[in-house]
Amino acid sequence: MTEHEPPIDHPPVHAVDVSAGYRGRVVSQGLSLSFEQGSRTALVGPNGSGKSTILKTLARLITPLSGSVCLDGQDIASLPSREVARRMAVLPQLHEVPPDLTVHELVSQGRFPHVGPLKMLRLRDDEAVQWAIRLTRLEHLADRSVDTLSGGECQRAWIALALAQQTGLLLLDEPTTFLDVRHQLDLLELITLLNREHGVTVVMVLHDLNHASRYADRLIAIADGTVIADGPPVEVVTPELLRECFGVEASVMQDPRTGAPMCIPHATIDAASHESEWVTDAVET
Amino acid sequence: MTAVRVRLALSDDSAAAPSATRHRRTVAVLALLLAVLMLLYLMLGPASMSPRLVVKALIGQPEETLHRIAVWEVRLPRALMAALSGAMLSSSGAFMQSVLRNPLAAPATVGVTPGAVLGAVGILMLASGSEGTLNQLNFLVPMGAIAGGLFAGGLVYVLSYRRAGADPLRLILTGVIVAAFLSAITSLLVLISGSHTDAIIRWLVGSLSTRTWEHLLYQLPVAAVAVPLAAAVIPAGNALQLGDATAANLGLRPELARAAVLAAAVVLASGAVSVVGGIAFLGMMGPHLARTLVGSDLRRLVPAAALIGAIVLVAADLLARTFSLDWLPLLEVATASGSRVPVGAFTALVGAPFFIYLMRARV
Repeated sequence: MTEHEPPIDHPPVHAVDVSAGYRGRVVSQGLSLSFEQGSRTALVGPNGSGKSTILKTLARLITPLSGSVCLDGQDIASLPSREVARRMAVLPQLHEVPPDLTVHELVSQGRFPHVGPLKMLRLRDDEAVQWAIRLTRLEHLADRSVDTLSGGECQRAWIALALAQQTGLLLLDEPTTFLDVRHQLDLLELITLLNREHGVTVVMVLHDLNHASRYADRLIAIADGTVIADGPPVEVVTPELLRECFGVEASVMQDPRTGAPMCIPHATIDAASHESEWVTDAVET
Repeated sequence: MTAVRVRLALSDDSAAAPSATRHRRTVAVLALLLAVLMLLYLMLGPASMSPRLVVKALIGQPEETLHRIAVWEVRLPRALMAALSGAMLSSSGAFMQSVLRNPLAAPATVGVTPGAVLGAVGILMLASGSEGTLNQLNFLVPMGAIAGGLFAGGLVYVLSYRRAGADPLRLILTGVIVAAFLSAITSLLVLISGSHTDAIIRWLVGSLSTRTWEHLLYQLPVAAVAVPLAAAVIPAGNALQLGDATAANLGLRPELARAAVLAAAVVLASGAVSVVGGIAFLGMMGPHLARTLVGSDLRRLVPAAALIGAIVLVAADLLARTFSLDWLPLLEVATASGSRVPVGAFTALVGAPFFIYLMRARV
């Protein structure tokens, strides 16, 4: 049997005049964003800037207070939720794993939006699950219980679940949190592979600006729920932006290997005048 | 239509998951164990019979009339009810634990069992005043139990509902409170009741004595509703186990899905309690045992939990039928319905120490 790549749709997503937030608390207002097919975008910004809220609104995990999010030009709110799940996969920041659930069982849940009325898994569902497991290099762990995996393996298993959905659009909320340096790179390389080789449109929230510059083609910097910069990394990552958006003094230089901008924050704005050692320590993190 | 190889999710045999094959074998072994136990159940009793005699009695060619009565009238309906009730109770617990993401969730802890028991006891109390015939009671008490269980389940859900939904933790907490409240009412009823105390206590503890085909006939329609419902909500329950955000990502509306799965669990538990009463423990223990064998995927957990529930209750009732309080020399017990121990006492007396052992052995 030939191993064929399962087909993938390419739905561009855009938000039209969206106000995002929770009941009684508007986080972001009048937001209009469009994400091109096959693009790789990182939302960056300080804690509490609203970047996760915006991502969740795009992912229809939160209903917009006003405005609309469109998939392929169709309002997400008017589409059946399963239909959305066949076109867009979301990796939430928090998830739960019941005890003794194997990687294979977890990943096969990604087929939920695809199964027929009789809820049976078909051959192509099995193929999609195998494909996702292979791509995330989890073959040897397929039969292991998810709660026994390391942080990096666990995150790969969750990505595999999203891959098994076989969507053209992947949204990730801080996928590298709690991972060590090696596993952060590993994960970002995997996302890049999906984007480059399989044409998956990626929108992700990232904390690390240097990772964002290197692994995204477009950065959207958000502060207080407003987009304050939007463009390729070289245009967005500047000392001015770091001051305005993150409130840090930083030097920005070019990564000699990739050409991506790299920043080294050295002081917070408030403390920049009086140089104390603990501040320098604190901004290292 | 293209010829698509369709396989039941229950029996997928993908090469990458040897655990799937292993789990399927486990389920088969459990089914075999249940069959053997059922046969033992039919064989043993005051008039023990060989398997050959049991089979002859079953196919309507008994060697003695007594055999036919023992097998057909007494043991078979009771064995079937034990198996069905155990399966319903235990699978109900499996759904609750998964969807509420809490190992303590069970029909008894979230109020369904106490509600059903209250319904049954309430009917018994009402009947004690009037001159209701036994036949009416046989029908009304199970109906009261079902109504009580459904009412309690609904009450817990409504009380937990705030803003956009009822979150799992609030459901559990509300359930525990409602369970305590309903149990207190039952206790009050028992205290003020003059008659029927023995019957009521058997309902509280859970018993299968004096159950006949008639009771099974009332239970079957409930099972006929509950089982397809349960099968239908398995995929949704699986998605909900992974958290609300993931369930929403997979195309579910978490709130609706949770309500549907819980509804199935409540119907299952009410149907079980309507015949056996407040069997302690099985709804919590069954799914835990099943999880140690086949893991958390509901496609396997629910069938395994159902089988284990059936096995435990059939075995416990076999013990209950053969074990007599007369054997305890210090106790001169003789209740109105004899000195038999109700099956619910066995599930707790034997189940609790075993469960503790299991938890300690595992960790």
